[in-house]
Amino acid sequence: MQERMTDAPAHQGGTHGAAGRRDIGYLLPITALDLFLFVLPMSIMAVVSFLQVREFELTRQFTIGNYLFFLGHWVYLRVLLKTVIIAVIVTGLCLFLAYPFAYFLTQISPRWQRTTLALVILPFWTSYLLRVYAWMTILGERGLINKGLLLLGVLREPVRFLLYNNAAVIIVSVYLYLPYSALAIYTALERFDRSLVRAAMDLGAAPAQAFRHVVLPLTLPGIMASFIFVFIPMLGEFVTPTLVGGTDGILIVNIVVSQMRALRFGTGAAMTFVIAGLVLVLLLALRRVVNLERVFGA
Amino acid sequence: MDDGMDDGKASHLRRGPLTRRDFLKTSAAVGLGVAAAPWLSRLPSRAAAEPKLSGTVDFLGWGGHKDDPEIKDFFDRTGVKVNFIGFAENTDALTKVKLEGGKKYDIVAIDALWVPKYHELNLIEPIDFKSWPIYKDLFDEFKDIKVWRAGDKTLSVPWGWSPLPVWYNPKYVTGSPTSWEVLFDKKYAKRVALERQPVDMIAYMGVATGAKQPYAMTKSEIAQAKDALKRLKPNILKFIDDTGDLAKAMADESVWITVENVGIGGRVKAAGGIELKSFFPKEGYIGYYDGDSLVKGAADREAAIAWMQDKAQAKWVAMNFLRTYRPLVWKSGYDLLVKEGKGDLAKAAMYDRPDLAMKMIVKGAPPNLGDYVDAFNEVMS
Repeated sequence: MQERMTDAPAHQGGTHGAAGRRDIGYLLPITALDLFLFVLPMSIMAVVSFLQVREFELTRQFTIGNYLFFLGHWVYLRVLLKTVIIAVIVTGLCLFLAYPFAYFLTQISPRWQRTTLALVILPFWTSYLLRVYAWMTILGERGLINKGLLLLGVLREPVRFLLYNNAAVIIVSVYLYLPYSALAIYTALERFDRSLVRAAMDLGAAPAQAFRHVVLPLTLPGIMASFIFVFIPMLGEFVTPTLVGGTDGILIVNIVVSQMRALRFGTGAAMTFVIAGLVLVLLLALRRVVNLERVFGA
Repeated sequence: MDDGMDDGKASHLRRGPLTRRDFLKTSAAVGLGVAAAPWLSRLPSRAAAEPKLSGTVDFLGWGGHKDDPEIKDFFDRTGVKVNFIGFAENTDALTKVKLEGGKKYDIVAIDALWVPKYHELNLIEPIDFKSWPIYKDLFDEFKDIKVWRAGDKTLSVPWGWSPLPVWYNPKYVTGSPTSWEVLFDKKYAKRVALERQPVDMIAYMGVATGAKQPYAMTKSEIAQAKDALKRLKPNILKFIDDTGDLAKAMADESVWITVENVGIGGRVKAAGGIELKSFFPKEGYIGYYDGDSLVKGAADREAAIAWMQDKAQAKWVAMNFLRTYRPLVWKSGYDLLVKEGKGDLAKAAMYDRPDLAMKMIVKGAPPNLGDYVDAFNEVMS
């Protein structure tokens, strides 16, 4: 930081070339990482998505058949649509629960804020898989909820609709992604200048109006960040639907995996790129609604 | 201390000025050590008895089939670590080996007719199995499996086998079922669990609907199997990735019916469940024998071969049986079980009937694998 500050006059003094080279030097490691860990694998996948597979072997023959296969199978498109719907529901529920929670967080004393934030982050200390398994022991036929309700006499027999269906996928996913959502919104709310609300109310706005016209627009970057943190990973969820979804819980990535396991690498890669394309379109659309720089700054 | 000098003398020399007596005593000891070294090195010590091995054996095996004590014992004796990587279905293992081959995996466990498919794809190395000392420990039926032949060599070292009957909990499943139809009975909605093996599930449905070659079905046979799977879907509670999980689910009675190897009854009892019943469906059934194959270009080939031989020792085979309760191909293991008074258990699991293994329709790789996967996905999507 010190170095940058002392270098500032040098920029003004016209040594842009040296400073530029140094800045490029700073960028090199992350660029190299991006190239090797993201651009290269994605390029390979892109090539594979246009290659034909014959007798379980990738050939060098170009084809758009892999994309046509995916786009021509209504069954697979239906799974993609279902995945998008589930992702929207999970994202919506996360926002619905996270916003009031984050708002509450900004209202309490800094000491309690720290404690509550630690509790929000606590699940990250255990593995993702373990957290999903924990929910299986809660929702299962012999799980905690059923045992509790049987003990209280609310039920005579354990209920079985809590696990191995789409609802279970949604419940567990909301639990898994809620901390990301809450933290993104909390960051935006914490930066928010509260005097603006007072000013709005001084000017005659009702609390609901002040929230709608002042708080919500100014915390929109946090909401968008939360959307990105939840919606995009949900499109790629594999473990949760596999473990708690039963026969109903198949999402699009389960289909991609099944294609890869049938040694249809081209089709699997093409499906992946259709999903990636969907994400890209979504991000571009978001960019029109909100400044993404502010979103990630949030 | 390569020169034969012990730590005490060396530190004494380092500590203080060297007297003539010290020098002579130490020189004598060093001289004796050097003279004796070649002779000592020829003595049959425990370490020398083991072949010089190095590396890590990456073993791609069936999930839940990791036997920790034998892995630890092998490491203690040879210094070679066995890295067990579990998988749940043949297609999963095939894809992994196809993508990463010997750079990543040394050994892969493969079911019966999937072995020739690996060979066809040039993914495994034939083994001169007949020259291995453990070869004589096999039941005769498994000494020369035709479909695994590659000239004088074999493509896979056999390990276990079992038919896959239908198992049920007699407390809830009434009557004495004899047909696959019991799986479709609406009374058993969400009470069936099956292993997450799409190809095998379509094959089961093929057998249930009368297909003679469930792993080489025609399009119309696959369509019939798909319709059967549609009927079955409402009854399936979940797919299983690990037989241990299935044993627990059958033991806590959340699952009443499954299709599994002959060991599941014992495993459910061991997990605190009741005695299950089983039957071989009148329409036919499927079974498997499996083996371990050496991946082509295995990075730690020698260590992998040593491990494959080591794990076939009677004590480890018997231990594996007592954990899984399904028959193995090693007669030596069976003999040990009988000697230890566990013969009844082994007989109950048909361990003494290796002849049956060669009479079953066994698991294999369909030539139209994609059609099987599509049929499964279309039902489940």
